[in-house]
Amino acid sequence: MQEKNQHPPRWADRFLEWFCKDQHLEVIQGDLYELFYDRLENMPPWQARFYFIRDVLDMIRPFALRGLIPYNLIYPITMFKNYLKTAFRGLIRRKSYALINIFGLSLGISVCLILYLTIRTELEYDAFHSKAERIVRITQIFERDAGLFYQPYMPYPAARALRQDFPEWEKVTQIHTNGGGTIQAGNKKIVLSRVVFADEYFLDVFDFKLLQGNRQNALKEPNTVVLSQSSAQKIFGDEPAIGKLIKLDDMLSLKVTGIIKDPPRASHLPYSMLVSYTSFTNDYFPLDLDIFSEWDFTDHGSVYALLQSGKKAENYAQELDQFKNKYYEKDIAQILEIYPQALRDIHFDMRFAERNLGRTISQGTLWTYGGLGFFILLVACINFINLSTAQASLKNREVGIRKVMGAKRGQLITQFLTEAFLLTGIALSFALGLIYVILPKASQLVGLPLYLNLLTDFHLWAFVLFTFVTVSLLAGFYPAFLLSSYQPIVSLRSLAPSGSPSNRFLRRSLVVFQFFITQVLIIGTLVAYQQMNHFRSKDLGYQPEAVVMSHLPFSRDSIQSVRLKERLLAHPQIAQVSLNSSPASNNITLSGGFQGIGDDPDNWQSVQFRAADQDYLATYSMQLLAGKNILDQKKAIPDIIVNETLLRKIGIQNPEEALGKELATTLGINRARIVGVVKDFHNLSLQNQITPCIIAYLPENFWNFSVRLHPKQDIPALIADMENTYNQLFPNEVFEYYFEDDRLARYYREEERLMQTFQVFALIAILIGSFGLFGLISFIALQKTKEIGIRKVLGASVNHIVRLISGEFLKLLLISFTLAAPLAYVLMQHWLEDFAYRIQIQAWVFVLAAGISLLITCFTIAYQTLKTAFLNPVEALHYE
Amino acid sequence: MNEPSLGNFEELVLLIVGVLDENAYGVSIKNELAERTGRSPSIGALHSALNRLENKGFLESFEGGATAERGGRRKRYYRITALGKRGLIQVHALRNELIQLIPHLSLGGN
Repeated sequence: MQEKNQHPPRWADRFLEWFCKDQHLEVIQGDLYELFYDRLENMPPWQARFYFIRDVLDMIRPFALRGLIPYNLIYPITMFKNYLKTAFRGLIRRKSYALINIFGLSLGISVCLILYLTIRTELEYDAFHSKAERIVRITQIFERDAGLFYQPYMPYPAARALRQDFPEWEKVTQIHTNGGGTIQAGNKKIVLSRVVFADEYFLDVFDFKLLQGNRQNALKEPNTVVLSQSSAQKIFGDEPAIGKLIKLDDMLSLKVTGIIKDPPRASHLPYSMLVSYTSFTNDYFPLDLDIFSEWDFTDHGSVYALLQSGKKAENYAQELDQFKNKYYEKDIAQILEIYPQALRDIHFDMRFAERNLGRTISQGTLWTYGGLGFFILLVACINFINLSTAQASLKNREVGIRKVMGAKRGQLITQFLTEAFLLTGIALSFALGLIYVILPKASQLVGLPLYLNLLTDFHLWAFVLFTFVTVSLLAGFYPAFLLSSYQPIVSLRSLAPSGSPSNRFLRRSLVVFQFFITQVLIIGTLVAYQQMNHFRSKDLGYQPEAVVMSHLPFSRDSIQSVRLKERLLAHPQIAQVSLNSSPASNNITLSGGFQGIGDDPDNWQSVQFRAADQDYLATYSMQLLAGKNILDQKKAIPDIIVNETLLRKIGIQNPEEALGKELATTLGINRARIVGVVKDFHNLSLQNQITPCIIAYLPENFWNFSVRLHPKQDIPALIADMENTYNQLFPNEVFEYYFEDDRLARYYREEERLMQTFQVFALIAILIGSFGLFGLISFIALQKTKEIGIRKVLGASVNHIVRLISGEFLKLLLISFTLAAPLAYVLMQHWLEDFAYRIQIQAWVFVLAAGISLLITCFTIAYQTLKTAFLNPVEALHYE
Repeated sequence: MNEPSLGNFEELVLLIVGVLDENAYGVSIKNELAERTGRSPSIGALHSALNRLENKGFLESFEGGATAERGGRRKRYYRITALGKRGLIQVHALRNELIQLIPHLSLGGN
């Protein structure tokens, strides 16, 4: 019967003991206990507990209270109950007012919370390493004439040298990142991206969690590997992986010595597996040099240092300068800065963005997010202020009576603030529910996994509480202040105080401000949209459509590659095949220097190389301006094709003139003869200017092949054929392919995402603002009903009435537009500066923006305006 | 001398205490009230009213009857005082008198 193990909530019990007078305590407590156990028989324990708490709180009555609570505190509690009740009744009576406010505020708060979660997740990047504050990445910055060149890499001997020259640093660790690798285990063959070679100190510096294996020596021995949890799952399924062998790129046999947790999403350094650095040898590079002693060669090798406590990266500028001069060649040292980059800065330093393994996001974007959240919430608050002050006339009688009954001004302010808090509280609970629903969508939008954990996330609660209080005060303070200021005598005579000039001025200013925000957002969205369109439709100087590219095997065999090309060409639906070092637009590629023959040896200009065979231009549909396209054999003085930008650098205007000229270049070709000039094509992504570019026949650098398809093919079948051919020639490899246009789109993914986010939030802001406007105009139309009735009786036309009601808003719209347009222009101009190829902001954008906001405004106010204007004057005058 | 007045809810509570005779304490009064009138006041409101009635002299109380269900705490039993009875009778008489004066109102059984 009685469930002995159930107890009333202890804290409520203690609370009762604390406030209740001793003479009543025993009896009251006894009654409450008895009720509690009685209720247990009829309802679930949580409900009985809830009633117990309610009863305890209900006992806060004058007769039961100890002296410790002064009496004058009890009356406010009683009054407060009354305020809540009045506020609730008010909300129920004025449903549309409550609805508009709750809708706007809950939408605004959810957006705000989502942006808060986004910003926080971004800011927490790499924060999970316990020594994060002391970890730096050692990077190189080159000052070339094409501009500064940021490399998060170091030459391979650097780590050892740093250990030697900076003995006070706690640890120095180096890694080498392979784009991806083919893994073989038994009969299974898969491709994993983000294969990382890491030395034995890696796990000392970083906190990535090792699940199985020994942290001290998992990465020590040659030919060992630590797999990430998901990689192990992919390769071995549920079988234990430790001790098993896998083969990487058909070259390295690796023994699994550990399983490591997948890197958190908020890591700048993603990996699928960590291969011991001692397995990493010169064989990986088809070059004739010992990379481990070569200071002149940089690939994808990075160095991280763990500084001793209390030291910052900046403290070492001078020492690193000395270090640089000690090891690098003089001519390189001159243009080089060794820059220790704090770990926590990596995620935000856009200068290194292209070469970072993970995402990089600019702080500007985060500020934009923050600004959007703030302004959206502000728009919702303005709705509240406008609607409350506009409705002041409905309240003034209540205020008058309360004052006559002896209410002090402070009490009235408390009362109206209670209303604001109540409304915000309701909106907040809706917002929290709404967030759960839209969080997955929002995660997609901002490109981050967002989590909402209301149970454990105290920071979130703090933010929610902060938002709650701020919004309530922001929205509620002015109306409370205004309403409580009325003189009872005026209030009771029912002169509408909402008509007072200062009040109207404020409301108009706020409406102008709302319009202002939405118009800036509209203009911004239009400009951003136009810019992205410009990106998508820009003439690249070649045709990326219908081009498929794929990698040649890592352990490449040039004869097999040529065979592959021949077999693919034999396919009836394939138009062109080219072996090359990289696709036409590629930010990470071979680069080096060039100069005219006999120029000052210190004066190299930077240039991009494309190693390619003679079908490269045809495959990408590039246009040859002069000369021939002969790139088919190695010569003592090789033939090269250059682009127009390079010609301009050496001062040649006419492409024909350049033919036969010789250049000195780095990268394997010392002298080269220009045999052709290609029309400029975008050799880098569109954020960058076109740079000088040389196309040369360098078969040792053929890492890719590109295929141009005949238009309108059965693509899946064709890809299957290609895969077949590929696997016949390279049985140990996995065929991976990319469509050129997809690959290009990836360069603009962050921008596209930012723009989408911006669009969505701009839309929300506009929506909230429109709702507020709708409420405002409804109320004003209602107030003017009688006036309109009289005017109509006296012969006013519908047209006239429409102008009477909406004229004010159109005027406000005009004012706000003149304010918004210049600001939006300046902001967007600033944004566009990051793009090398950008649109001009044109006048029609502003005309369109004005048109859109006019349309939205008219649409919003049309219903009420017309309804009122068409009203039969009899009805209108009947309205009381 | 003014006799203390009897509020509506107070009157009801006083009647229930009378009905329960020897067994009137917080929870039983609350339950009886709910059963007889369909109104279920909060225990706080009830204690508050009982306290007022005692202060006005309509009720007197004594303690006893601890049970395990109450964690061994005693109950406070209430009993109507002479003053209380007189107050009830006065109110009742006044009502009766007034009701008789209303024309066209037939009380069932009268």
